[in-house]
Amino acid sequence: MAGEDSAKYKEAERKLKQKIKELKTRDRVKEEFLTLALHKLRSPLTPIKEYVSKILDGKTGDINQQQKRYLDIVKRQVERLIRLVEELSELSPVKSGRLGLKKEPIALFDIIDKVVESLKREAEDKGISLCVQLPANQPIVRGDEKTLREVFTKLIKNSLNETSSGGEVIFSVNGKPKVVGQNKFVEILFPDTVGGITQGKSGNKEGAGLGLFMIKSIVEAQGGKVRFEDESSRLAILLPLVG
Amino acid sequence: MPEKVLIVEDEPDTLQLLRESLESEGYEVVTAIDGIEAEDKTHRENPDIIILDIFLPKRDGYEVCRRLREDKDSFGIPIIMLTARDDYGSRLKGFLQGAFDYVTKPFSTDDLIKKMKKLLSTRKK
Repeated sequence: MAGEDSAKYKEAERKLKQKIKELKTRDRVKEEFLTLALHKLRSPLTPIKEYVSKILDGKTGDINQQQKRYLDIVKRQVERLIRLVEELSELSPVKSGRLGLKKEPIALFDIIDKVVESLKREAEDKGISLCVQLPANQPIVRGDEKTLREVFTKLIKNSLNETSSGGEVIFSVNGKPKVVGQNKFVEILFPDTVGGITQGKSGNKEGAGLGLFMIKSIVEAQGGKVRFEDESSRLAILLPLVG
Repeated sequence: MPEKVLIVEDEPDTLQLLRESLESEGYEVVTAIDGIEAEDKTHRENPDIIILDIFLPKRDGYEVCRRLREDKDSFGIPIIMLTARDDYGSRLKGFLQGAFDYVTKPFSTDDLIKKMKKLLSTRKK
């Protein structure tokens, strides 16, 4: 019996290893395909952008107002495509898990201080009040400090872009930990003027979908969660608490 | 005597754009549409500089770059690679194969010309 069990175990282990190898190969093939596809997508954009610019710059002679208007639209759409391709490019290392994310204890307020400091000037220049509401106690979270700072900065920056002068951008850290399953998380709530990133609010639909997907990928790769707060539909990032 | 540029690009419209832009700057332009032709034309035409795409039929840009670097007749010709933006892997690989510089797609022909002039003036010294 023991011999049979051992043989079955070895066979199961062999099949599992084979499956893992197949999945890794499939992942690598997908990433190579994505890289090639992105390169092929980028290629047509150069002549389109350049030739349209040459016409708009008057290098082929005068154009009338209607031609200028149409070409301005083409130029805008090409720039939009370029942004879309950039967003797709950013997905690749995260999807394959090769971003090299750290999962170490971080003082959350330190990240928030750095983000606020980096965006303070921009908010002042735009006449927007940038506020952060923090609990009394400093949460210690587990994650990659650099990428979390980039995610927070992206979200707040989007919000600043969507807010008019005289307005305010407020984001907050919930003092009460959220329990999901066996784990405790700290909840960071972002303003509902995150604009292109938030659910249902999108002037740039492709950018919104991909931006949120990228943020979700980064946060989830660190053990966190991204969701929309039930009452206000504000974006919430949950980061695992240490201890 | 105008400086000679070899453009290696398989996409016809991008090739045409590069040709027109460089000719209007006074360069003499020769072209190739795959990796093997790129090496043949390099040896026959002896360009002063090469603009080289990565994804090419028959032989890719990295392999072309590496082979030209290893050849005593072509190793000193500056090569500018056309790579994808944020594709750090491609750029690093290009440099390791011997590329002198790169432009990222979608690129501006003005930026490309600036880099070319810089490399060509360095070469003259």
